Amino acid sequence: MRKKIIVVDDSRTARQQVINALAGDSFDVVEAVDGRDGIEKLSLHPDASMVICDVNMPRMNGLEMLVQASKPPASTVPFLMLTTEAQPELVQQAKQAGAKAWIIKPFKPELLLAVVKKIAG
Amino acid sequence: MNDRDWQKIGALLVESTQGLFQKLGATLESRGTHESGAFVDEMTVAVIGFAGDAMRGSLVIGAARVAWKKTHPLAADRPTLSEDDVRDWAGELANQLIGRLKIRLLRHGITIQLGTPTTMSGRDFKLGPAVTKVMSSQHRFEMGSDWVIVRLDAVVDEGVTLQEAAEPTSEEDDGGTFIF
Repeated sequence: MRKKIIVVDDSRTARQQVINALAGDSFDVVEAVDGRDGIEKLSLHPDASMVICDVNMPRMNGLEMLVQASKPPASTVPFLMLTTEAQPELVQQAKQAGAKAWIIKPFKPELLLAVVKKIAG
Repeated sequence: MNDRDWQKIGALLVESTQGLFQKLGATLESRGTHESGAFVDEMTVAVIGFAGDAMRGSLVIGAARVAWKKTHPLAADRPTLSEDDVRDWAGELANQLIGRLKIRLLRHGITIQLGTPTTMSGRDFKLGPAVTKVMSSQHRFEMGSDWVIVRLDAVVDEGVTLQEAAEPTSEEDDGGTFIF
């Protein structure tokens, strides 16, 4: 069965890079352009296996989305933060909010795929 | 901030820019300062703001469209990248560049928070001089036969100094991964 992954990034180039990295494996990708859109997509796709999420985005950033998505009765879908940010406080915030991983851009496609497989199974 | 520390920030900007482009498979040679007021025929530009307790400002990165295309990660799949594709990539690269600079500033005790990029493209671009009391660091790089311009403008609070650099951790640079 194909797993569904929601990719949230305000850059369509960045989203496409993630899609290319996951291509060839059994993933269906749903795209969202910012955190607010990500929340909407998450509610439309409650069967998603994972969210890959940027941090700095307009309207709602990735950490805000993570916090909102983690509130009950929302789903407990795992989050992987994929961002240019490396500030330890932000990494810690994400960890405390329940994120499963944090990767700093630019990323190696094989590394992203390995982490996705580890988390999404 | 004294001139020595500002020059150090300029050097961090150069290091960040060259390091980022190297990760993208391009070599940038530093060619010194880009003069304000010089017209550039055709350019795609991304601007991203930042703010912090001690330092606030913006980062500008500009290049001719052909140079953006050379580093575009999807160029191999899409030989005909649209202007929107190029602008989107310029914005993403500005984001990645300020992210690299941010972590280097953090090692020196300066924390900034990042905005989101704005991009534009056109002809006869001219970067104006920095306004009074704004510290400005402008750099021109060559990428083969192409060029890239990077400029950091900032207001830095009086008396702010760079601390001795903390040792970077292996996870802090690009590709760094934290599994929780």
